[in-house]
Amino acid sequence: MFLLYCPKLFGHGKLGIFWVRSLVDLSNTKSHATTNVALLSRVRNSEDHAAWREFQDRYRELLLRFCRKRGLQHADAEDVVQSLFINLTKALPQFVYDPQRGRFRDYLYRCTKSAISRWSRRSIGPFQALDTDREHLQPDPVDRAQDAADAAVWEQEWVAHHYRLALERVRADFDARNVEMFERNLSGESIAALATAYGVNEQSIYKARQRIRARLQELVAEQVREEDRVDDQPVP
Amino acid sequence: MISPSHSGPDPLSDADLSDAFGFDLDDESWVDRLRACASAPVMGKLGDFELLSELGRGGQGVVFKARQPRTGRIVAVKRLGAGVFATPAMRSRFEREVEAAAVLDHPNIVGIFGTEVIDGQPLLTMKWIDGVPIDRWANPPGPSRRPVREVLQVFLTVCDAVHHAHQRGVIHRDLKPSNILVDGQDRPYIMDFGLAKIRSEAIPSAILSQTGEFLGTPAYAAPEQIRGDSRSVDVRADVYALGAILYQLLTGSPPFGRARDWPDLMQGLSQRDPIQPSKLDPRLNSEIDAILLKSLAHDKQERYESIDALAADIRRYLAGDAVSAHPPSSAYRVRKFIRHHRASVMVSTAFVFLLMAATITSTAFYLRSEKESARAKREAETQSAISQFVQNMLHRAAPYPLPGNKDITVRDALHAAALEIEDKELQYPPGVEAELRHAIADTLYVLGSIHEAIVIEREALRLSRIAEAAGEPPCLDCYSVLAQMQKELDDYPAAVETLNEALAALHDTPENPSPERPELMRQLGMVRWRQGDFRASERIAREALRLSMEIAPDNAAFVDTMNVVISSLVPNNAPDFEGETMARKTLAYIHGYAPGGLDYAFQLFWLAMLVRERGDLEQAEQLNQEAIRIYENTRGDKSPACVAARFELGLIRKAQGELDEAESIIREVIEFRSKLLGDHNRATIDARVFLATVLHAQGDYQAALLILEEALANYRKRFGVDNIHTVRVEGPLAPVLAAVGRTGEAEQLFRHALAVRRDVLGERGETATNIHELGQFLLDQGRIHEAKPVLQEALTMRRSVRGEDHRETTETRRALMSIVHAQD
Repeated sequence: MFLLYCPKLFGHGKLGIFWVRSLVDLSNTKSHATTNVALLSRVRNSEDHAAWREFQDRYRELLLRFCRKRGLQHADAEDVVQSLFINLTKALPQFVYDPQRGRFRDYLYRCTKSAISRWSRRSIGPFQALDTDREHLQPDPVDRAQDAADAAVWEQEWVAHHYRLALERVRADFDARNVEMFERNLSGESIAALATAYGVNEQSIYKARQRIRARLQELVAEQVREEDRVDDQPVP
Repeated sequence: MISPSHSGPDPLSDADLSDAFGFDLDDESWVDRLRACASAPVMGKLGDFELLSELGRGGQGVVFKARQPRTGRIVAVKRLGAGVFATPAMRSRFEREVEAAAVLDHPNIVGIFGTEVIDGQPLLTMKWIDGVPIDRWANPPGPSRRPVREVLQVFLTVCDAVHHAHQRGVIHRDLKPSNILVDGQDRPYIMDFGLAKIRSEAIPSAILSQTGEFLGTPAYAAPEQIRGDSRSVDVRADVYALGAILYQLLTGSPPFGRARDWPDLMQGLSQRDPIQPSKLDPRLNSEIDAILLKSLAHDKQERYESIDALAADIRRYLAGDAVSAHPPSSAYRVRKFIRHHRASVMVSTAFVFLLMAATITSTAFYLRSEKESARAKREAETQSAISQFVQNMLHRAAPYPLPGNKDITVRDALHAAALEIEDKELQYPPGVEAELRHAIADTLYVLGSIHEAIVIEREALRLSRIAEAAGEPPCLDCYSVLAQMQKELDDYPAAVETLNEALAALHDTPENPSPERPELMRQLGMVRWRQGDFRASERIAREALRLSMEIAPDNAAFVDTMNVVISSLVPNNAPDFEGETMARKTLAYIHGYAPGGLDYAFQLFWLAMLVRERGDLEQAEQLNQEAIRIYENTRGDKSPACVAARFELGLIRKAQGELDEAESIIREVIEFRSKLLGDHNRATIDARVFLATVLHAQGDYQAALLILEEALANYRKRFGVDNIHTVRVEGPLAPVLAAVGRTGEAEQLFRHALAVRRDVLGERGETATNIHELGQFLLDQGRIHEAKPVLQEALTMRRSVRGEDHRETTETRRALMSIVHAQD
């Protein structure tokens, strides 16, 4: 079980609460040293540093890219993401669930937005004022257009995030040669060129690609469903 | 299109999903879509630097490959946390450190070009190295591993670089594989000198613990660093780190495994040692083990004192010369061994004794006469031989546990070591070797491995005889302990023979008796007692006592001799309780020089028994409990001595009427003895016999019968039909037989036992009890005329032996009174 807590984001004093089950079933992923099940429930335990590092590795790129697309310099994006992670470590162990509040990715989106807001309003330095209790984070009402644009960007990045994850996982499901061909195709090489390079006919490469695509889509669907799953049980 | 602000957790419909992820696109479009996702993030610029790619991410910040637009030079840019500049003091500190590091001009140290502050963030510009971290270099993915020599050669270069820095006052403090890159020509480069110091002071610890990243990798940090004791961090912290890195390069993983976090570390480092590298990789040998062990010593005093020393040893190894890393001092080893192997106190005490080359038997043979220079010389040689042996044994046994066996005990180590010296030719003279083997045997004996011990002790004795033939003094301890073990295994004739041989080996005269004579005689007296010849035992013991008073009135043999005398008196229960008086005197004597010690405990136990016999159960319990307490603390609750004391407690409990508790105590005793000495050992059977009396008192006649009949058969065979020990089983058996109706057999046993007792003991409490029991039996049969005179005799004897007010006397009186009433 994994509980999230996102205080003060909804304008009133009540705590917003979520339930999210293990965000991604990582059992297929090849190289992680830690156990792959329920990464997020492990992250809830602030002592589990390995899980925490994994969580950061997993989500960093998504968050960085979003920040960059929102116009931040790379260095600033780094800072924002860093402070966001710090926040999450504090907040994660205490989450409670509220089915009204939406999905994990929505929550994460909101937290990211607020982290960016905080950063843009900072007075001293990026490592100050991390105490969420003392903050009032009202989304600026006039910025609705910005909101919509942000939402679109977020979704793009979220999709990309899932595909990236799935790509990592899919490697374990196919033999190395097919994966290699697929990746080379992805980085721009034409099927024709690959056919020559590997000494196979193009048709077989297309077919292989289709199989990999199907698998990727399966993985993505699985990942997303996992992320969205709602569970009634309270945290032990 | 899915809107993230959509409230309510409806699951994503398939349509939504396809839409978002382009599941319905044709292949080519879909691949384009995917391409966009998978492409590298836009990096942007950092000040003037054009960021090309992210090289790594570590405790201090991120490192980018960047290009300087002005020069086109490719550099590595490290972005440090802003906290470094929190105050002007810290900033200047930072600059000084960087300056110091920057002047480290060494081909294998990554040059620092400078620092800049861009948008309030400190950046460090360094030479860019096209290389891989050294662990990946040494063990690239795939089956191949770099040859050990190659790894060591490169490692030596690393050592030189680190040493260069040390000599200029810069300690790295954060050496780890990711800080050491190796380029295509196998050249190593070390990064980030000195920065660890700034980093840890600059960044608030709240953040450190929260993100975890900032703490860096614990796997290579020396214990004193982890403890946060920054003042005690010196060059040896880098020695440790390099040791850990080399360990990983050669075996594939860091010394304590990968999945390490700070809490684990605090636990683990203080208690464990890493797995022997030679066990993890067949290419490695014990010299590598020694080098790594020395680098990774928990206590920095035990490490190489400098990188230079470490490098020198590696060079020696590569040249085929002997490595200097030797096992640490034996004091350290003993501490470490005891710490690691959490054995009971008994074991470590025995071990300390062994180390001090003192024997663990009684102090009787402790060197007394300095006149005996030959003996003194032998003592000295023995001491060194034992030390040497123990050191080797410790080296072999610790710090690496035997495979599959986490807690090696001293016993295992001794056994393994003893086996090893079985066939070897040691260079010591036979007398010294005899003493050495004796020390091993004795320790094993104390630890409970009597069967192994006796084999080794016999071997020791054989060597002693060879020494004696050459004119050397005999190993008297060998004889003494061997006799003790033989006695314990119930081989009394053998024990007697051994002791007589020892006495002969003294080559002394009545005019000039040897100081060791009383002790050997005392032992002989004990064996006689065991054989049931109390008169002989008393005689021998009194003689021993006289001799010891004559030779050296204040030596420790006095105490033991006294006890033999007393013990020979116990079955006799002399009317003036001479035994108890003597025991008290002895107790006071011991209290004078060693209260709370093993002699004292034994004396307490002894006295408790006598007091119990007298009938003062409360006092007996007190004395006995104290004895148990001392034994538990010194020898451990599994030692034979402690078990004997618990047996006594069982006797007390039964006398108090607490049958259930007595039963459970005695069952424990039986279990211990059975395991230690075997099912048919006299001590085990004695305990069983007592259990039978308890069962009898609880009314469980069948169970009691079973035990007693078996015991009787055993003792008849072992001691003979008319031996006192045999009769002491007949004693409890007879009433049980009577209770189940086998009255004919019961009467036979009563009378037979009585006859033997009259003969062997004469007029004593035990005899009187026998008479009383016969009388009671006759009474129960209704043979009142026969019972009366018998009981009268019992009363007379009990009055005389026990006293008028003793409960036994009262018991007999009551029985007689019931006859009188019946006749009225």
